[in-house]
Amino acid sequence: MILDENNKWTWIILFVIIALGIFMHYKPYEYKLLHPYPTGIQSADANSRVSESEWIAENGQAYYQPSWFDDSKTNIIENDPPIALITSAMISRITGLPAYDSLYFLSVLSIIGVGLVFFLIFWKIFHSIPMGLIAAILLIYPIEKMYHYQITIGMFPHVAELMFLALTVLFFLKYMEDKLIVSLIGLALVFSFAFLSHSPTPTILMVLFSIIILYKIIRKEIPIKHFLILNGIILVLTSLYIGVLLVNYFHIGQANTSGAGLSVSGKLFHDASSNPIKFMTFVNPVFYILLLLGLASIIFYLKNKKYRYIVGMFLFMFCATLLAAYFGVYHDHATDKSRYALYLFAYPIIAMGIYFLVKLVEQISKIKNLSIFVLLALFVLQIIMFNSIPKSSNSLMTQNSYDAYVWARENIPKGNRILCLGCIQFEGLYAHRPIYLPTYETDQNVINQILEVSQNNYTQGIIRSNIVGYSDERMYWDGIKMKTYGATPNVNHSICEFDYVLFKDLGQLTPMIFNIANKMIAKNNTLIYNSNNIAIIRNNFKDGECI
Amino acid sequence: MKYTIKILDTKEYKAIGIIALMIGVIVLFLSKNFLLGIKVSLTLICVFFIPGYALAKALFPDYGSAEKGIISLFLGIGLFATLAYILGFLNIKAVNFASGLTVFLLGAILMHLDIRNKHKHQA
Repeated sequence: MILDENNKWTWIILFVIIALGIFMHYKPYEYKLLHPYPTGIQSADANSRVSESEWIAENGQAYYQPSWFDDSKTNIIENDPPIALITSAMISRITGLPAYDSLYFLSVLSIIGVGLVFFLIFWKIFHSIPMGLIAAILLIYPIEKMYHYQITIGMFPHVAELMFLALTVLFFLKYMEDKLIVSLIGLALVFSFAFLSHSPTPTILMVLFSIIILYKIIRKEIPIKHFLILNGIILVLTSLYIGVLLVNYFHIGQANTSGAGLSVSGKLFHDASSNPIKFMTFVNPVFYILLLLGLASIIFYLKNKKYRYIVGMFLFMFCATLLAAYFGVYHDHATDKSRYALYLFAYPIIAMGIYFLVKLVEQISKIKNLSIFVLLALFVLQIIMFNSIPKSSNSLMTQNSYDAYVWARENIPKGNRILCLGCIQFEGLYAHRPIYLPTYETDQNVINQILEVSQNNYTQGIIRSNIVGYSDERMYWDGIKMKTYGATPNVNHSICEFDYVLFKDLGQLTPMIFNIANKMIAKNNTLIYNSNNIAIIRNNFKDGECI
Repeated sequence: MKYTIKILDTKEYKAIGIIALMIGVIVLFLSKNFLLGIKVSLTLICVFFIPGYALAKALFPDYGSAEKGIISLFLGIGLFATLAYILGFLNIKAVNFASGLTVFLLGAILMHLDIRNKHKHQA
C-alpha cells in the first residue's frame, strides 16, 4: 500500500493523529475546554500573560499594559509579544471562554499546527508523505519533556511562535525551490507572525536565512530586489513592535541576570528549576540517539540538498543557543526558553532517520509495507511514551484563591490598592486591582517584619513589599515624547497605606498573618470577605492608625 | 489586461467543508456544551480558517485544496492578530474586513505580477 495523497488512508491516519493529539493534550485538563479556574498552569509568568490577555479582551487594544500592573497607570506601553495574547483575547471576547482556557486551547492548536506544517513540508517539498506522517507523530506527541513543558507551565507565546516558525521554514524552503516572489511574500508574512509571537528565536533563524539569501544573491541566483522586498514587508509589519523592543533594549539592557554567577556548564545546561542540572537531564538518550541516526542518514544517504537545509537550521540554532547563553546575549543561560525551539528542527531530522532506516531494512529484508507497520508501531509507542511524561493537572492557583480574586475584581472599586499577605507570585493579578506582595520568599527581613507586626503593638505595621506586575523600567508617551518609567520599587510600606488587605494561608507564617487580620478587625476595620481561609479587610483608617 | 475571477472551485468547497466539519466535531467533543462548542467552532472557522484559506490561496497558486486547507487556520490566526495589533483595536468585524481587504489586495498584486504564468513557464 502506498501512502500518497490519493489514498484515503493517508487522510484517515492524519485525522486520527490530529484528533488523538488534541485529546491527549487535554488529558491533564480532564478532556474539557472550559474550567472554573486557571487549572494546570504551573508557573508564575503564565498568570501575567493571562492577565494581559484579559486586559486586551476588556479594552480591545494591545498597546498598553494592564492598569493593575502599576497603580492604575493606563499609558505604560506593553512590550510583551502580542499575537497569542490578542488571539486568545478575541476568542474569549466572542465565545466567553476565559483567557486561561483560550490560551491553552491556542497552544494545543499550535502544537498540532507544527505537526501539520511539517507534514506539508515533507509532502510538498521533500515529496514523501510517510516521512511527513512520522514527523507529524513525533511533533504532536513529543517525547522530550522540555518540549511539552512549554505548554505545562503556560509559555503560551513561545508555543504560538513555534507554529509560525514551522511556517517560516515551509515558506523558506518553498522560496529556495521556486524563487517566486509569491513565496517570498509568504516568507515575509509568516516570519512577521513568528516575530510578533515571540521575537528572539525567529530573529536568530532569520540571520541564517539572510546569510543563505545573500549568498544566492552574490551567485546571481536571486535578484537583490527580492531581499529588499522581504525586509520591506517585515519592517512594515513589525516596525511598531520593533520600536517598543528597541527602546526597551537600549534602556533596560541586553539580557536579564537570572543566570549570573553560574559556571560555564551551569549556563549551558541550566534547568528551568533554577538549579544547574546534570548533563543527562538536558540530553534525553532516546531522543539524541534518534537524532544522531537522522543526521547520519542525511549525511550518508541523502543527495537532496533540501534535506541539508533542515540539518543546517538545526545545527545553526544549536550553536546560536549555546553561544548566546555563553556570552549572555538574549538569556544569560540556556533555559527552556531558548532551547525549546531546537526540537522543532530535531524531530523532523529524527523522522528522516527513522524513515531511511526502515527503507534500508526493507531493501535488505525485502519485506513489503514495512514502513506502514513501523508507522503504526511508532504511533502507539509515541502515545505510550508521551503519556509517561509527568503532566500534572495541579496548578499554582486553587479554586478558593481564584474565587477570592474574582470577588475582589467585582467588589473592590477600580484603582483601590490591595496588600496581599499570602499570595503566591503573580496570582494576585487575577484581582485586576493594583496588588502588593511582600517578598517573603526571598527576604528573611520581610518574615521578621511580619513576625514583628503580628506580635507587637504597632499602629501602622511596616512590611517591605512591591507591586505584583513588573519591576523593570517601562516606557510611556508624554505627548509626542517617549519617557521611561521605573515601576514601583520594593520598599517599606505601612499596612495602613492600602485600601484593602487580603489574607491567605502561607505555610508556617499563617498564624502570624491571621493574627494581623484579627488585630485589624479589633481596630474596627471591616471584614468584607471571609471564605475558605481567605479574608479581605477594608481599611477604614487609610493613612491613619489601622492596626 | 483581462482577468477571470473565480473565487473557489468544487474541490476547494469540499476541502473547506471537510476541514470545517473536523474542527466542529473535535471542538464540540471537548466543549461538552453545545452552545460553547458551536461558538468556538464558528469563531475558528469564520474568523481564522476562511480568511486563512483566502491567504493560502493567494500564496500557494500551485498547491491543491488539501494542502492549502491544512495550514489555513494557522495563517488566519497570524493574519488576524497582526492586523488587530497594527490597527490598534479588536473589533472583530473591522479586523475581519481588514483581513479580507488585505487578502484581496495581495491577490490582486500577485495576479498583476502574473505569478501563475511565470510559474507555468518555469515548470
